Amino acid sequence: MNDCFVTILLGEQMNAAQLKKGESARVVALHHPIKHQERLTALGIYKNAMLTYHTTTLFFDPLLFEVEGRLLAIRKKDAYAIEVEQI
Amino acid sequence: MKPYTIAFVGNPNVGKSAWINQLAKTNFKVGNWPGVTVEKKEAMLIEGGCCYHLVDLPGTYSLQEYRDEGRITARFLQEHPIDLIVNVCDSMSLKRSLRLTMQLRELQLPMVIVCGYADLAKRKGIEIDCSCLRAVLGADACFLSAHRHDHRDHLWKLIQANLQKPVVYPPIFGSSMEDQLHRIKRQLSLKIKDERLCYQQIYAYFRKEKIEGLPTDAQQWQDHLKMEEVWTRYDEVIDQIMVAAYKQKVAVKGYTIIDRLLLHPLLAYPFCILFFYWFLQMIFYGSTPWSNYIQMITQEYLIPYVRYWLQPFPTMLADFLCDGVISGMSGVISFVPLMGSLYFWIAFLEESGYYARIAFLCDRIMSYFHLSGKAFLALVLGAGCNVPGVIASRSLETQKQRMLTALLVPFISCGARLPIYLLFCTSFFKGKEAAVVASLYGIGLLVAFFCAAILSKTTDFQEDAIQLFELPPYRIPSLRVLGKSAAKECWNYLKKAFSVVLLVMIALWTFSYFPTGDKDESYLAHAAQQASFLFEPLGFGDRWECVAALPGGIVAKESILAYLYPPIENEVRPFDLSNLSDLIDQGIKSAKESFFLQRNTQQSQPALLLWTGKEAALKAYSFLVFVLLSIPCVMTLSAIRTLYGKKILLYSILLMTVFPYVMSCLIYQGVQLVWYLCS
Repeated sequence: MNDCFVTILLGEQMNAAQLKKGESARVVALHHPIKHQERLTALGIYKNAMLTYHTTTLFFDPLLFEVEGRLLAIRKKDAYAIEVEQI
Repeated sequence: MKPYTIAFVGNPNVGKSAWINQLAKTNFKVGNWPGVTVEKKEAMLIEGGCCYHLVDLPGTYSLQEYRDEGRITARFLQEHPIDLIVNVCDSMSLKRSLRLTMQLRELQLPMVIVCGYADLAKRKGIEIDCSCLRAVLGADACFLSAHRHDHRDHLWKLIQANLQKPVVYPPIFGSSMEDQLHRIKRQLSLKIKDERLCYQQIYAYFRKEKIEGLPTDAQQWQDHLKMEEVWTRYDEVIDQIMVAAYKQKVAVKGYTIIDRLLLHPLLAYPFCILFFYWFLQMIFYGSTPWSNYIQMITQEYLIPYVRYWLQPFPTMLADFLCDGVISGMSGVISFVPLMGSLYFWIAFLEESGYYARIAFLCDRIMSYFHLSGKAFLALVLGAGCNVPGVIASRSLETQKQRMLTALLVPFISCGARLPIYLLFCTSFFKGKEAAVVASLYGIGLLVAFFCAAILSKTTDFQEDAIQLFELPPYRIPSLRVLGKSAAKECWNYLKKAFSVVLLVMIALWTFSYFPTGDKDESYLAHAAQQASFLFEPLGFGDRWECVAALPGGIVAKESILAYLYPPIENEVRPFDLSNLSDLIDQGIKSAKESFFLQRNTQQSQPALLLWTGKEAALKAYSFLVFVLLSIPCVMTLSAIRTLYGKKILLYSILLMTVFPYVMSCLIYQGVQLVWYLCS
């Protein structure tokens, strides 16, 4: 999914790539193709799931999130399409 | 004997293999599921007049996922007669494991739920109430650790008690679906009297599958059901189970202090580079003394003895056995220490959890070439030996990525090519050896990445899969398990070597021996002389010995040297008991060098006199580039064929025939053009 397209689509809403180190958020919606959503859901990222952003590499990609006590590495372009709400 | 099939199902990395190891205690039979490169592990256990067939199904998070692992597991459970499912759950992330458990209940097969890693979980203050799980889910549950023998016996008793037990698992959904569940149940139970069949239809309905004989409002309700709701249909129930049955004193933290250091943006890469440097040093300097020892036993002891005993027979027999069979096989066997070392450390990396961290750090670079971070590791392993590199490609997420990585690994310069580089360096590039070898590695990587960039656009390798992966918690792997797995892989390598490689070696020897016994007059030499004009544009075509040496590279890369070295005097010696003590002394010396990673002083090698003059270095370099990129050894080809099939094998052969020719030509002609323009 094109990063710019998704940012425009979400507008005011926050996405997972905008979280700062240590911040937690609740997933509001997934804006990925259905096949990708299935994979994300299987690994614990679905509506109302809690995720915490921890760190990234020198290249700012991929991003490391903690979900249900497990660490997941998600590419930035995929993190852009996870709409979140900070708690 | 009564046969039973027991399927072990669970998320990835929950320890299904450890449980089968504990129960069966015999070696796994390892293969591939048909059509995909996913490992199939089975074990047989014969006890009490019954034969138990334990199948380790690939780890999956869901039976409905489109990935190979999910599809294989779902298909196996549907198509094969299963007598029991052992659902292995991770006590440290029970919620995620229970999602699969609820899906397995839908199959209405006898099931035992094992909450593994009990020892680790209890240390973190986690307690699981198995009787509560049993009451809610309807299947026997236990909270056990695979390391304990008494737990093994407990599990075995549970398995025996539940084998082929007739079970009925009623559907349990959350409040949002409860009303609809009752409605559908009422409607279906009028038509289907069998409770099990009725429940199966209900499960299928809530998976959005087409059901016959339902009223229109039920169909409409199903049409309005969103896929996200289907995937998370059990979450409410699972949350309630977790509250009732799962107690933890302290919240389990995924991001530990170790990760804060090892994944620190500034510290991570220097540590990673240091780690790779140490890793490759250990692999090479740890195994080289043993490889040299094996070669020494063959060349200085075994071959002279055999020649001595075969003196009464025609020389052809002695030459066949010594140069054809023994010499060649010792070359292949001398790689076993390197392979064993590589497999041991790959398994260590995977089990400990650092493999995923390396993949995380390297993912961005690899993403430019449409590969995942795990592919980087496969390429690094290929620098040791291409065979483990190809095998490491199995750890990638999708089949297309695995195939692409397997095609790229042979471009990386393996350990067997190093003696060739070093020989040419001492002969033609004195003083610049390090730069030349580094440039060859660099060319290999560049060509690999170029291939990746091109091939990932073709239909065979193009895909739109999401790249995300889990970083498992750090674990101290059991050295016994690692050693066992490394020994098994080495044994497979030896079995393959003694069949495929031996045949190819004998064929090569035949062509380079007959008709006269002199390698310079052989069929291979004549063929090379005829064909050398094809290699004129590459620079080294003027020496037919180089062309004749190339087929040896298909057998084993170091065989290329056999044609280039001047012939050595055939030593003949009778067996002497004092030699045994020499051998033992040498063995102890090798063990010391290997343990302390001592660098052996380079033995002086005879310089090659293939070319002289201004163009000698250029021709030598062109030849080295050709050797770097040419068709991989038959062991690598065999690994590619076994894992990915004939099509990918042909792709590999094609790529590694075209690229070396084009690159060598470009380098030779390009540099000559530059000289011409400069002069």
